[in-house]
Amino acid sequence: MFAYIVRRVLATIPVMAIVALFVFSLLYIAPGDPAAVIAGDQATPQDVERIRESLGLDRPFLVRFGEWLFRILQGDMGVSIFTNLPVTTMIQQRIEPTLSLMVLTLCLAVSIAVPMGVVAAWKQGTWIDRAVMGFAVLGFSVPVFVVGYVLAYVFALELDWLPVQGYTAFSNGFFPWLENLILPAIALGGVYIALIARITRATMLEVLQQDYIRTARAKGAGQRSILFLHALKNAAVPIVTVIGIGVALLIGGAVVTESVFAIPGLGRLTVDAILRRDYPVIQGVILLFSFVYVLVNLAIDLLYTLFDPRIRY
Amino acid sequence: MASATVVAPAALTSRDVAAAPPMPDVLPPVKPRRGFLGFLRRNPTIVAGAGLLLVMLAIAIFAPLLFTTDPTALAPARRTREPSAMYWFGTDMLGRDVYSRVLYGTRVSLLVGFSVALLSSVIGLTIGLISGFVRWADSIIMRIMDGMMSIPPILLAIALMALTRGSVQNVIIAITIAEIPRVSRLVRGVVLSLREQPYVDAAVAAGTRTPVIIWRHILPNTLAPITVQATYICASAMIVEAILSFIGAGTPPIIPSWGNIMAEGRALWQVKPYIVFFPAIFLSITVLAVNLLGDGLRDALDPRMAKRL
Repeated sequence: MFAYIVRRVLATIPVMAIVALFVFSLLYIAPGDPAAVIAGDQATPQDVERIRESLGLDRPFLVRFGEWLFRILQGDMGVSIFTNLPVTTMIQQRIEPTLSLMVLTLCLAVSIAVPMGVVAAWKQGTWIDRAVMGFAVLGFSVPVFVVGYVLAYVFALELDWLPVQGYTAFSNGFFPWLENLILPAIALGGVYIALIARITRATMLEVLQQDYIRTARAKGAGQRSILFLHALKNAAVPIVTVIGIGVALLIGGAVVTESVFAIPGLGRLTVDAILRRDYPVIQGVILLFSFVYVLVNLAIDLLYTLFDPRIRY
Repeated sequence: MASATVVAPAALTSRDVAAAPPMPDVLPPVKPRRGFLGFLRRNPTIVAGAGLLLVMLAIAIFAPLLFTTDPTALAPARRTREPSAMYWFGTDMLGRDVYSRVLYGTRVSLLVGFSVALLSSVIGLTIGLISGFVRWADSIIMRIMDGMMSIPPILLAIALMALTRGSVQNVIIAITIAEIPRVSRLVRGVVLSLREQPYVDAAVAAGTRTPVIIWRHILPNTLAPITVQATYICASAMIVEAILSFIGAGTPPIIPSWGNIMAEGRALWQVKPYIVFFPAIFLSITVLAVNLLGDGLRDALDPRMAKRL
């Protein structure tokens, strides 16, 4: 068991190295001359040359990658072209809203989607099932920002129940924090809920046909205990896997949601960086999000043993 | 769906047969409709999805004929007009006709969706085949794909777009690069399981050369899952394109794409919400159409996958 954990943790190192290599080589993969693009249309040749130097594009790829990786490992992600602040500082200033939004969305989505999927599987073929599946198709089809604008229009502008935009720090109290984040979290959660509900339903349908479910029924177990104790527990592994994979949707969606609701988080930082062509910042955010994503999926891999003691490594 | 009308023989045990009354001779034989129309009849989801998509395609092709004006024509005197008989969807903050812009935006969205679906399928198929057949390349390719898949696709596209000039072509390239790992993994999985099939063994034993095996036995079997995957990629590419344009990393602002229209309407959305909502509705309907088509194709072409989801 312990040996497995160590092996699994060590196995993420090459993946992270490849992520770093890939993110780094984007500068070289991108068509055209990135230095000229970043410098902008009004730049003088000297400006372009200066940016080429600061990105290290004038030196050999491997030398440059080695230096860059060495600095990343020391927690130095470079300096913003626009503000001249270290990228790590800029990220630290913006991380709380994004983290809040993603954690809230995750909790909200899981606590809505899993019961939805369970009930849909239980009532398979009825209007409840069809409603859940219909919702799932809609969730996949209506983009995050569309849901965001509709929610903000209805609940903030028309009904005036919640603030339209902005963010209140968690240190100012739970309810002001929640008030600002609840609409963004629902908007961001749409696709995620659809994904989890669908997988939950499909897995539950499979599990509900197993012999031990019939045994549970035969011994007189209640419907609720059969669904949530016997069946859901055995359906946990695929559901938890998809929760982990879906975090990529949350990360991508957060960038847009923060724009719609004017939340000053990492997504907003990214969007501002795009408009200013501030590549070191974009690179830093992507690297951070990718590492978070890898770590989340590592944690989920390790959780398997909790959900399914049959899994031995 | 088709099996619902027919009693599956597997459900009958010997005891049931003994107890069952003899079948009357007058039962009409079950005759499933054949041909293309029959296929459509059995798959209403495909009809709904494809129908909607064809409407959108018609809008894209015939946009100039559908009572539109020049979508880029500025008219500062007629800024932010509410929807009316003159301006069906109103005008934006530069006085451009939102109806015309939304209709022309269909072209960008469909072009990006279809191109990304096609390109990433072809490239992913090639990579997946190489990975499934060339042992030493497999581990290298799959490690690279693992790394690429660890970067959320939208962020990968954003990073690529930040390094290039905004153009429809670059948007297509950026989204394609972000989608390739998923197709490659899918194809590789299919290839690996097909290689274990007896008929492939038989072909190998008969001395068939590898290219012929790939062409005759492997490729036809990858088509169904790839087609299904391609429709989903098309849907996701249209959303990503809109997101990229919305946050200013997509098509250049002069091109009327749905994401651009929404980005321009963003500043005014609290007072003039229609500028954002009309392109949003079109985008949602188009993506819904493609997703319905994908679900229908999945149920029809790939029953194994359909059962799992």
